[in-house]
This record gives sequence, C-alpha cells and structure tokens, in this order.
Amino acid sequence: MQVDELRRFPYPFKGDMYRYSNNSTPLEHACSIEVTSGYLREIGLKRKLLSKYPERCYQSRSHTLQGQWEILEFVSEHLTTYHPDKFMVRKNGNEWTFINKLLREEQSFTFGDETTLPFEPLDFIGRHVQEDMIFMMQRDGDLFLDAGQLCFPANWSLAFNVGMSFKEIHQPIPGFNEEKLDERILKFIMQMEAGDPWWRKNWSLMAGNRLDASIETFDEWGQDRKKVTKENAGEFVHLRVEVQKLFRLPLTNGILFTIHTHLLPLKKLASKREWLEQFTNILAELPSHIAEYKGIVSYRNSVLQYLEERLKERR
Amino acid sequence: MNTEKATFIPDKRKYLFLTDQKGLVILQHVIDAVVESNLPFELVFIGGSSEDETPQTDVSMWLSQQKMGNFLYVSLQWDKLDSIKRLAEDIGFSNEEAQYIGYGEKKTNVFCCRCHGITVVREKETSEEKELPEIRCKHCDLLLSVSDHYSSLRDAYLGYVAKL
Ligand SMILES: [Zn+2]
Repeated sequence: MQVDELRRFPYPFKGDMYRYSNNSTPLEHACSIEVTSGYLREIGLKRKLLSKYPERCYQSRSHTLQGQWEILEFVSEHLTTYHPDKFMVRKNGNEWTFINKLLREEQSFTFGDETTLPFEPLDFIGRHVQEDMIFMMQRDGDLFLDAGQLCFPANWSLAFNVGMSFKEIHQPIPGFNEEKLDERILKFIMQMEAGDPWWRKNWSLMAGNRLDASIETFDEWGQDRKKVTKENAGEFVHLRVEVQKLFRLPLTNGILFTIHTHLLPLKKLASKREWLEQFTNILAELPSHIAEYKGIVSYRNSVLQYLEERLKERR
Repeated sequence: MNTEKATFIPDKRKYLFLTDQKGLVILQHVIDAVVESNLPFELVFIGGSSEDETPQTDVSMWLSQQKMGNFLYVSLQWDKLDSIKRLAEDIGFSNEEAQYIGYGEKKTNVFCCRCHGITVVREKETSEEKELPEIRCKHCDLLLSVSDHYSSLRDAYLGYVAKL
C-alpha cells in the first residue's frame, strides 16, 4: 500500500530550486479526472462540505448554465470512457441516466433542463469526482471565473473570487504581476485549443492533513502551523500537491480547470532518498516571498531540521 | 485612474471636466493650465443645489458623444465618484484617458474571509495612512486585516485573519 501511494504520488519538483513559472505541459492521458483509493472518503467529505457550506463550496453566475451542461457531458464522457467499470450513462435522446457504481447511485434527467437535476449541472457532476472544478469563460480578450465547485481550496475563497478576471484572481501572489507571469499565463490559456489539454502541478506545505484548507476556516487550521516541531514534522506536516488540468471546451469556448489535491506526510516523502535530498534543497533555498505566500515561513526551520536529520541518518 | 491629485496631461484634443463645487477647487490648477495653453475644454457641473444638478442620463449622453483623444477629469465625493467612473469606463474611457479624484469620506467595503459578511469602513480624507487598519467584522467579530485584493462583483476588499 505504502509503495503504491509513493508510486502514485504526483511529486512536483524538478531541479534544486523552485520559482513561479508557467510550468504547464501537454496532458498525454486526456482525462479530466482521476479515481483514487480515497474516492469514497473524499466524496463523502466533499458532499458534507457542500451541504453544510453551500456558498463557500459552490458559486455560479447565471450565464454559465450552457457551459455547465457542456462540462457535465465532458466529464461524464471521461468517467465512462476511462472508468467504464465504475460509471455509466444511458442515453435516450435527451433523456439521460447517470450511474455511479461506486456509490450505487442513479440519476435520471433531461439533458439541458436543469429543473430535472437536484443541483446545477456543474454542482451535480462535481459531487461524483474527487476534483474541484473551476469554469472560466472567455470574453473581451480575458478569462473570468464564472462558476466553480471548490471543496478543497489551498487557502482561497471561491465566494470572493467569483466573477473575477484572470489577473484579478492572481493579484495577491507576490511577484506574479511584476514578472508579467499573469499576462504570459493568461495568453497561454487563451491560445489553448479544444482537444489539446494541458496540466501542471502546484505545491505547498500543510501543517496537518486537511484537504479543506479553505480561507473561511483558516482561523482554525492555521493554528496547526504553530504546533510543528522537528519531532512531529514527519507525521504532521504534509506536502500538498494540486494536479491541475486545463481543457478548452469546444462549444462554449470556456476553460474547464480541474484540481485534484494530494497530501503526502513528510515521513513518506523522506523515505525516498532522491525526494528527500531534492526537497530539502528546494525548501532551504526557497525565496522568502514565496515561502510567505505559501504560509511556510513560521515552521520552515522545524521542517528543515527534520529533513536534515533524516538526511544524516541516510548517510 | 484614481489619483490623489489632478495632473495636467498636455497635448490632448479636448479636455472634459466633470465636477461639483468642491471638486472644482481640486481641478482648478488643471483648468488654469488648459486655459493658459489655449486648448478647448468643456465643463459639466453636477451636484450642488438641486436645480443645477445634471442627471446621470445627461452625463452619460455627454460622455458618449466625446471623440477619441479627449481627456476626462472627474472630481467628486468618493461615493459619487465610483458610479461615474464605472459609467465612463463602460462608455469606453480607458485608464489612460481619464483621471478620477475623490474627496471627502471614503467608504470601503470589507469582505470577511470567514463569514462572507460585509463591513463598511470609513476612511477620513485627512487620513494620510495608505494602509487600512485592522478592523472587526461586524457579523462574526473576527479581527480582519484588509488586503488590496478587490472584487468588483462584491464591490469589496478581502479581509484576512489578522491574528492567528
Ligand atoms: Zn465575519
């Protein structure tokens, strides 16, 4: 099990230092979702959050419905193509039945008629996948976050960011605008074409193992940053990696952005020598503005001490 | 763009001033410079006593009729400035073609990161400090540090947890 977890973990680093960049690469296996062994647990958590905090976890502007239907169709297609043993869709014209065999659920609806679904289309299909899903619409030479289902954010607020342009969303990232990275990445995404998806990995450290690191609950989970010591860092601190995939939607010309969040305790990371060495170098070298934005500053030294001790043991 | 002080931008086709009594004082040095340079200008007065108030529909019409290369100065109270600025931007005045100078008490909406409630903060015009102080969310009582991250949909700045 442990070997498998390490093998499947989307380890994000290349080289011995990290900077912000447009690190997207073409997505070979053009599937927007991944079903992992944590499926049932994470779907359960997602649905609990959605029912308890609907505004925090789901936002949509009224003009997004057509795009949402396109996403429902797009993601269903991936689910049934890549996981035919787990998902099925029966179609009779516009009368569809979506079948989730993992959850033993069936939902019949009329495609294009949201009154026949219990939730909006994006909110519906999002409840069957582990990914968070963001829908960006393109107009006036810009992209706008017009709808999204977000249960496992890395410290940002969908409720606040809804409706924002691409640059407005990224405004809080230090250096992002100054280095014109926002402009470059925006241009890159706007040139994306249907059928040519891209992906990237984003990372941060997390004190604790909450997937739901929402800004709305930062006053709770942020406290955990104070509890990190070099003694507990191996079990307590996690490398948090987001696998982000980008798809151009052919009909509405919008962008579907799926985010699958993975957590790995440092202890497991340290069990792989290559990763241990590389990550130690990266963390030691990380410029303060990036460490600050990622929220690592207050416990970076404890983590580094932990990592260096592991390195010594291995020498 | 929003500026502290109006500055004369030379070599424009025509100068447009949209202001009220108090704003006129703020714009006076620019108007003087325009007159001195013998450049064409128009001045539209809004506010003041109710009789000479120009309705927003007329302002909208006036702005729409302007040609490319005309430069717009607006000086009004902060709360009126925002709607005029949005209007001008919708009509097509870019940030390079206009200056907006607010005066009086500025109201800022702060969006609470925890409860999503909005708390209105009043900034005094005398306040030299650029950074907003920490404030308390009036809905959930969380101490917020006000960021410069702005949502036009919420018309508010994001307030982060000030102290862990
Ligand atoms: Zn609050």
